[in-house]
Amino acid sequence: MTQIFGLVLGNGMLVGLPLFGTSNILRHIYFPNASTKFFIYAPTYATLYKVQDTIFSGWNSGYIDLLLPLLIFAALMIPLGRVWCAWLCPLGLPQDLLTRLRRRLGIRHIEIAPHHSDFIHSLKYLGLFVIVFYTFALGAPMFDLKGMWNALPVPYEQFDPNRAMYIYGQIAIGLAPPSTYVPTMSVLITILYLGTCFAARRFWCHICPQGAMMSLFNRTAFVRLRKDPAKCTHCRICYRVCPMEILKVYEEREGTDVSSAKCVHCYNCVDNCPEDGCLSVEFLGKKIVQSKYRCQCEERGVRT
Amino acid sequence: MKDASGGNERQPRFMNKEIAEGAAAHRDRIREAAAEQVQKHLAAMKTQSRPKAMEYFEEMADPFGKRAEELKKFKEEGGKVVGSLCYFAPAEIPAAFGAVPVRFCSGIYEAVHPANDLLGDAGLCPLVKSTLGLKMSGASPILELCDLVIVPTPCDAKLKLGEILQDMVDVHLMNMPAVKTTEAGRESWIGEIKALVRKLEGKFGQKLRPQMLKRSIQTYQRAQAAWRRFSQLRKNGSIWGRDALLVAQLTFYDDIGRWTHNVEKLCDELEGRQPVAPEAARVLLGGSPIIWPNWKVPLLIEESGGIIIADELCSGSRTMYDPVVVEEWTMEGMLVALAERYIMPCTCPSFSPNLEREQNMLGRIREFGAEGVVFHVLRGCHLNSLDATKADRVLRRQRIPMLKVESEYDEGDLEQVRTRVEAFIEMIKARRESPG
Amino acid sequence: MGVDIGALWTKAVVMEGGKVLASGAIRSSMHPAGPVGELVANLLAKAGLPPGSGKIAATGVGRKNMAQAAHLTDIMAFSKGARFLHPATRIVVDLGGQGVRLMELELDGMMSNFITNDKCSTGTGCFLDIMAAALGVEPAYMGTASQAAKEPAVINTSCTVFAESEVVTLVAKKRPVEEIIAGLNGMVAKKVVAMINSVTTKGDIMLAGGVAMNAGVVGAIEHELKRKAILPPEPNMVGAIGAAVSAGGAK
Repeated sequence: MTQIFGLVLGNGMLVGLPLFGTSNILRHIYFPNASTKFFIYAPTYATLYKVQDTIFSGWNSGYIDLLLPLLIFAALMIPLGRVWCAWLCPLGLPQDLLTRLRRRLGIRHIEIAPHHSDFIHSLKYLGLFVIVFYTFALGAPMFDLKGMWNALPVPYEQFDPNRAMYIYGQIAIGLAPPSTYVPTMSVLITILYLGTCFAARRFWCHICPQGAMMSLFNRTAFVRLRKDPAKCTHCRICYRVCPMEILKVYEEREGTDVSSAKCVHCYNCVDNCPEDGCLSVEFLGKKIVQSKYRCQCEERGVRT
Repeated sequence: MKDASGGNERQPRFMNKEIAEGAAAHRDRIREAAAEQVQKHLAAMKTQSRPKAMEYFEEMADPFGKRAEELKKFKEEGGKVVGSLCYFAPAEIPAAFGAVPVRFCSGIYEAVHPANDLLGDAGLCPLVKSTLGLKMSGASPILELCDLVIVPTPCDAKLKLGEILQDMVDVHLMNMPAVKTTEAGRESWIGEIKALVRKLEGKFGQKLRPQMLKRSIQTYQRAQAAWRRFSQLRKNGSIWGRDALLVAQLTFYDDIGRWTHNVEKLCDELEGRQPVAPEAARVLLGGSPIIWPNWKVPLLIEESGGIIIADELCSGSRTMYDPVVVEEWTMEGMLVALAERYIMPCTCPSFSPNLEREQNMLGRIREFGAEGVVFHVLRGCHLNSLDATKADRVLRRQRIPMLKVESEYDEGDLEQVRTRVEAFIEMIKARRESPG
Repeated sequence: MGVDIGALWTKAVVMEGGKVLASGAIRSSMHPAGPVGELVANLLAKAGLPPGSGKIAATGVGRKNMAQAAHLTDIMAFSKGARFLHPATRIVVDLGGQGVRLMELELDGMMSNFITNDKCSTGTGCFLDIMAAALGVEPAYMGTASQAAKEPAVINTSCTVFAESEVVTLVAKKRPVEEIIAGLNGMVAKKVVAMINSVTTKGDIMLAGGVAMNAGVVGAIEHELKRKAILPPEPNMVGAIGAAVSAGGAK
């Protein structure tokens, strides 16, 4: 439940409610995975966009403008790692809602086997590399492609699933004029996103290029996932409920740190682990939440 | 020879007319002996400090008594009873069809005799012999009411028991993977669970709907929660182990909803209670299953100055400890959750590797403050006998004393075992003075 | 004072100031309270102590018949007794009337493990008595006879019942009694040494109990072990001494 609450609150801010007015300071803080460029009134947008734009135009200045956004990105990432992904991402909320819908309809998900999972996860690094290189190639004078900037599709703007969803949404509410351009590619991507994320859990998170940038920080984040292997009964529930197919939490038998780059910090594992104190979330060594046995029946309604 | 469900005419392979008749002749003696064994042990269990809520469990403790009557009436009204032999047969599944699941492992000493006549292998597990003897002689009213019997095959003895029982009743074998850590092993078990569902659908002429299974799983989840609560309350020794183990045993054939309710009542009574024997040596009981009324070893331990503060018996704490956690309430999601719950955290030595047992044992010792381990091995149970050796090594490294007790289904070795148990408990108490 | 009420013999000792002052043994009976009381009184007199003085502890199978004494199991009593007599003892083997028991002691004297052979009678006093009867000799002769043996007869089985028939066969073949006894001792020694080898503790081994008074058996065990064992002056009193120690006779 708290997950939905957090998501709505976070995304509420991002959905364009002018909560922060037009503060100039905020304009410079590019939240790790904030909204897309396509929210009218959005105070800020995702770092990846900023990175793209800066790489394109940064050749002459030696990419100096990249420095500030990346530093801010790092400053926001290091404490929290990919907590942003599960709780504050505008692409996360729709995925969770789709999963709820699927469950309510009683349709089973497509299970991704561990070996397939690793491959799919690595696609996001490929995606990130392609975006960066492509933008770099467009912007660097040696390739003399600058003039084509307008003709060629700008990567993330085309492949961001949010575009079609939110623009049409905003058109419907009347926040945007009906003539706002939405490329066909975007619509297709959005449909693909909705389809895969309905069928599999948090599929987009497996391939999200912004997530790729964030995964690089998972090793150093202050937020860590901990396990007490002596308490583990090897029930495998943590693996079964993990949308990212992370085996490490289940398989770790000796060490205590089970954080991993693939983890989006949804804490399904901690929620469902039946052994008191076996799994826990730590911030700078201090336990924030830990697993506790509970009977599924004692909750109002069904837990999804 | 017709089977109990009046179904297929199958050529008997083990049984023949003489043996069947001979076995039937044992029936009354077995019934008498069973009643005697039950009464004797119940009497030995009575103590002044016994919680009032235990009365319910005492009442249900006769496997041929009240519950048998209830089930007889249930069947007369068209209900179905599905027997199973072993923890691995998920009770939730027959229960989902509205049938009553009954685990009929036997602890009756007298019942091994007809089996000894039939088998020609006296070294076989006494639990299996006793169960077989019960079926052969028709002594157990509950067993006779079973429409179908589910026999998982974790060990040689149960495998052969399943085969022999086919001469007498409709048997559904479940192929146990000995290696559960591989994808293949896990998948095969999920397949077995699904096959069980199909078998019951065929038998009862009813399709299993997700709602039915969900309700069944939730009923058992409540039972699991009740057991966890009870487990926690055992920690300060507020109830004798012999009573706690009986409570666990009754999940075998009691109505699970009623059982849950009574366990909750017992828990309410145990809250804030003082330890029944503060000076007693705190013992963890482990090893081969100890089936009611085979209470020889638990009583010996508790009569010799010890208290069974925790156990890792599949017939005891392990029955209800692990919860079923379902994330997706789809048919597939529920069946996978069930399948995994029954084998992944399971500490049965029929799996290899079996790290879970070691870890669970050490975890319970730490959590319950046990001072020593009594490892009970049924004669002929190689799996547990070898695990006893392994446990001995592991416990030695942790400097926790362990006593291996080998036992049969008779009382002949009672005094020898008593001497050893007494010496063991003395040893534990002596260690308290010098934490060496 | 310590009393060890065994199946065949009842032993008692009186201790004071860390020394055994008097000891004695009588045949066990069904109602030991009377005879044991007499024995203890006699020993106290022998030790020059006033009757009824000091605390008493009882061990052995019959210990529960002495209601007024503190009780401890013979396994515990033997460990304490062995420790008292020879502090460096790591393994104590009680060759008793009805059972052979092995106790492992840790460096600090705590008993860490024990093995009992409650399923087999080989090596017990009972076993030797039966064999003596089969050979037609006095039980005491069993102790000294094997010294004279030139070559021990080989007994193949390790089971008492089958051994008896092997012995009868050997007698019929006119093997000298001494050699048969030596063979029986070898059989016992193999069993005991197997028990000793099955434990990981290594160190000084003490042989105690009634059968340890049988020089032939002791010799055979030492031969099989390939080293000397510790033999207390009164091996059959070790249990009673342990009981006395636990009653507060000595630390």
